[in-house]
Amino acid sequence: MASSISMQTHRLPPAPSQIINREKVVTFTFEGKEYSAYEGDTIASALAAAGITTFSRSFKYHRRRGLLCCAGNCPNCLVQVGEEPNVRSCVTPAQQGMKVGAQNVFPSLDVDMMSSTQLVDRFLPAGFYYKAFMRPAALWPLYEKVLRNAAGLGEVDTDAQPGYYDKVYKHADVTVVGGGLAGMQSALAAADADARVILIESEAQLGGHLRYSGQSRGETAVHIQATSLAAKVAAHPNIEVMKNTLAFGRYDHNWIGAVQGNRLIKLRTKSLVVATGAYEIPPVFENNDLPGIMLGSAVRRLIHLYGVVSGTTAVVVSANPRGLETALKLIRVGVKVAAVADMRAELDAELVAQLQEHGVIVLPQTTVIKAESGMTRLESVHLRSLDGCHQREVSCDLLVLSTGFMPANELLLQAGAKVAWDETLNEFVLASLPENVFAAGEVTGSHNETDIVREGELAGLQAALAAGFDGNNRAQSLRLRVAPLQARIDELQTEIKQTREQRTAWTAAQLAEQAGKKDFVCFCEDVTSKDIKQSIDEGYDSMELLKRYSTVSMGPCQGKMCNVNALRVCAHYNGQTISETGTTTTRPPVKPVMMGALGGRLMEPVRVTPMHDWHVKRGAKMMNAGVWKRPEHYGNPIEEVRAVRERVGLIDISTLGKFHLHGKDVPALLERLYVNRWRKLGVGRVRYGVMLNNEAVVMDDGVTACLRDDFYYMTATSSGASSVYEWIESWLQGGWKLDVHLLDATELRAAMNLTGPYAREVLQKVCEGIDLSNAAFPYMHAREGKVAGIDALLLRVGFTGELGYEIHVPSGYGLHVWQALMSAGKEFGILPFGVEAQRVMRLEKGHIIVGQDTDGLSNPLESGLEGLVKLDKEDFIGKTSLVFASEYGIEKRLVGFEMPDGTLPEEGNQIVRVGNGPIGLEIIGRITSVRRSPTLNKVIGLCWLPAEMCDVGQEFSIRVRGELKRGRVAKLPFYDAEGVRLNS
Amino acid sequence: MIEIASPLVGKVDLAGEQVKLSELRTGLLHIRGKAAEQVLNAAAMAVGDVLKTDEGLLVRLRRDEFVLLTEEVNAATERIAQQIGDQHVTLTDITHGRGGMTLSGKRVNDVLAKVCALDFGKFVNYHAAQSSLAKVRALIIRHDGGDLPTHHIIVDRSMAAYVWDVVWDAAQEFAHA
Repeated sequence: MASSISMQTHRLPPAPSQIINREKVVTFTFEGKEYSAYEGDTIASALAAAGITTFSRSFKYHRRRGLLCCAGNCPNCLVQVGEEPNVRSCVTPAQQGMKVGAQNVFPSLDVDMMSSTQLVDRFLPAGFYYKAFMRPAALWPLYEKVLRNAAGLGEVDTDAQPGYYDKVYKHADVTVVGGGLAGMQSALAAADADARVILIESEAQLGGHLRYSGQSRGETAVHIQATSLAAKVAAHPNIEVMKNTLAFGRYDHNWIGAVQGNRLIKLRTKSLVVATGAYEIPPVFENNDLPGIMLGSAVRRLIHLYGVVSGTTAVVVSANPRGLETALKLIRVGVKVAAVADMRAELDAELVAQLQEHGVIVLPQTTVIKAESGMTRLESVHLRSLDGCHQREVSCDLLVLSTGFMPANELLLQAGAKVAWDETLNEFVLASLPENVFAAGEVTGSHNETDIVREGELAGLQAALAAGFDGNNRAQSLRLRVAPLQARIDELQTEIKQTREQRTAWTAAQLAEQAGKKDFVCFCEDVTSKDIKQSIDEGYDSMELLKRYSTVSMGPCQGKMCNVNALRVCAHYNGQTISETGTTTTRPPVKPVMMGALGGRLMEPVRVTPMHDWHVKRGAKMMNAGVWKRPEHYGNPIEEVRAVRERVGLIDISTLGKFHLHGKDVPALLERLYVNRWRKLGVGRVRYGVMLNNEAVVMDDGVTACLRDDFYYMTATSSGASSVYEWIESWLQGGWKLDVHLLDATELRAAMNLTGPYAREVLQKVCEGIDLSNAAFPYMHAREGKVAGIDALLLRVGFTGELGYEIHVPSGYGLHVWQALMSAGKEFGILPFGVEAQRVMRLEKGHIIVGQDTDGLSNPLESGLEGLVKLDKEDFIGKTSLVFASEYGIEKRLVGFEMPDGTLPEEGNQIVRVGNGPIGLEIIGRITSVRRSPTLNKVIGLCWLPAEMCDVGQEFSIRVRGELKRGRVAKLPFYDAEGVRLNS
Repeated sequence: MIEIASPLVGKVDLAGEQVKLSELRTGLLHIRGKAAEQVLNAAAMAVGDVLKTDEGLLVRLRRDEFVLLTEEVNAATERIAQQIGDQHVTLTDITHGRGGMTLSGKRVNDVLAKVCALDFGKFVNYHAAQSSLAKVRALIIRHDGGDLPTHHIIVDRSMAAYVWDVVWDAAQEFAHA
């Protein structure tokens, strides 16, 4: 039960830039204690307002970690929210009733026993797990259990119910990623050029860092200007703004993956503008991970967006103007700034004067080398001049770091952009961009606002031009507009003068002698500069190897905080430049994405026959047959077999593939598709055929009826229907020049098989226009007439081994005809039967099922279909391979078998003999079909055996549930070998 | 006369302010052959064009393939068969093999964007396309009713109920928004 609500002791008075609504309060719990938040607060801002400084424990050493970036980039604020692990609390809105907790702590966030690992850290160097737990191997399961408990992040609730996720497709001429100043300018420029623009922003508002910079331009606060620009963007009819949306990946042909809440967005764009800004990154120094150490941008976010300040006495360490500006802002909100250390030699005199007016000590060419903690957070920092001559300790509970940037260029790198390290700017800058991909703003290395605005416009115009506007019959308009657009592009390219002055940033040269202490390069994986040095000493001296061995940059932040520093440290210890060191590969996603979102909404197609509802109402047990739903049985498959053998049964076979073949060249087509002969098939006749692929592998089988000289009706297996259609169509379109039209009629006709000794009597009651006598309508013939008043095609074929009629009728009448047959059969004891009974009966009759009894290597000569093959035909698909196979010799065969002792093996059981296998057995075959036949009262089946073991009566061994059982080759078919019943 | 059974028996129409979903009951004739465009007097139609005729909506699926949506299947069949004469043009009544639904309203593009990868922002009236919709092959025809965007979705009969459920679900958030 939660205790009383904590006060918001660190909340500032209201200010115009803040995005919280103090009129609406929500409450949530963190570590069992209740906290309040204003509408608009994130979990982290609300906790910071209540004075919370420790948000998590680190991955390896379980050190306290507090807010660092406040932008969802670092791992420090990851929490468990309900059943969802690894939630970035600094960007996740606080909501009423949320249950928030720390991750991977024991017993609590405040007292975590696992932090004792720091005491034995010399036994836990980089890659220790590759060395320490190798022997004895038998203990690995124990090691694994301990390590998995010790490491890791949040917990997955395996009992959680699947959530509702969604997916949407989007299209744009120009997509701009990043809704800051550059992004908004790009979007407006492209949209004004008539391009259809989508602007993607990961946060809830447009404006980027302008929203929380705290600066003014003239009389107007910058955040007001940002709001005004955002309103202009939102009102533009050609721009669709997608807020709270993460563009996580750029794939081939400008396919952008993005997520918005639980919705996956698949976006296809002609041009892409990346205006994702830059990450502020921390320097590396001893204890640089203590709670109370924050990036300058994080401090400004908390102050300006949420009205929260996270300390009372601050030290600012800077390498750029933003540090001094942040120090002034802190003073204005009542924070005492004890000192400003700036790595630069020349500082803005006006800013320095303002700081000194407030009694702030400003130390040029000075850096931070160490932080010290009290019980829970920062207590003081050690500052030292860059020449090492001066050092001082300054007490503070907040250390603000503005010491360098890393461009947020992941999408550009994924697109194939090249970057180069610029020694002057101390940053990566773009060396080249791929086609139809553009960049603007801080991601290019520009931090000058004038340049950012120009780059934004330039990129927008270039992107629109590359997209060809919307390409919608506006060629004339396009021609008129290209020239002025190109002129403006040329003008902008001249105007943009990216600052080329030397930029200062933290460098690895400042590591100095503190190496070996807890100076973290990688916060996610607790990798220190010592770990990197040791990895290099062990030979992992290239960045890609170093990354994998030390795991630097492989944690949740994926290098956002550490990549540049790791490069700097690696280069430093290798005695190389950063350019010589190179960088690592960037892959999607830019930030972690929920698996559910990637999966999207459940869309699993289901196909049902026209009689589906009847089967369900009758109590059928439905089974999946591909995407079809079919009745497996209606309660008693054995009884269903008996009904067919002794009386009559009806099965729904609407799932069969069915094709109309029109044209004078159909016989020629059939000759080429099937292994047997077709030219002399007369009107009204039906023939069974087997289709091969080019390698002579059995692909499908079925019957084809000749209904007119130029019209044939073909059936294929249910599972093979779509591939057979594509196969035939590809041959028809591929150069045979045959005059044939193929139509997939699978959906047009419902089909049912009426079979059993009384099938003719039942059919006679509802059939008109067809003489059903055996003489007039014999086996393997087709007739057209009416059944239950509906035009029907009847094929006298049989898969069950009994007298049978396949009845094909228009699908919309399928249920009507089915019900009429069931009524007509009532006096004969008709039963509907399902797939299981059909499988038993076809096995009794020795019919194979393509794909079950055959596989991707089975040719017809070895599959018991050799009687069908006419190798003396002019040609058919697969003939060349089949001729070769016949000449090479048959090594295995599909044969029937029985189990003398009545044991029922399982399909897939192996046929073995004594040999050199792992348990002294050699696998020589397998069972493909097996059932206990209720008709024959014995176990029968089909199996693959070596050709020399296929004589009827020969015995072999089957491994059944670990035991060897005897099988015996049997003659096929098992039932009605003379075909008397079929032909009755 | 026996009525053709609907593949959407038991499905309830969605009657939202912004999106409506209802069953499309229509006859469908499939015409295929090199001479089909002469038979149908449709040489001027591009692939994807939809032409409103006295008999219904004629859709050109590809160079040699058309579909006619018509309430008068028998009459249209007779007329087209006469036009075909001895030419190798295949005319097939595919009414029984398809299920159809009509999606209309201001937010139809938002609904369709959730189930189909086509760019519906450029899917103009009297245009049609065959595409994957909810992982199922579908013919989508835009035929506006009055001022409201209206799309007919025609799929295999066996999957009509599944597609209906997916589209119905996709439309929920927009139906009244």
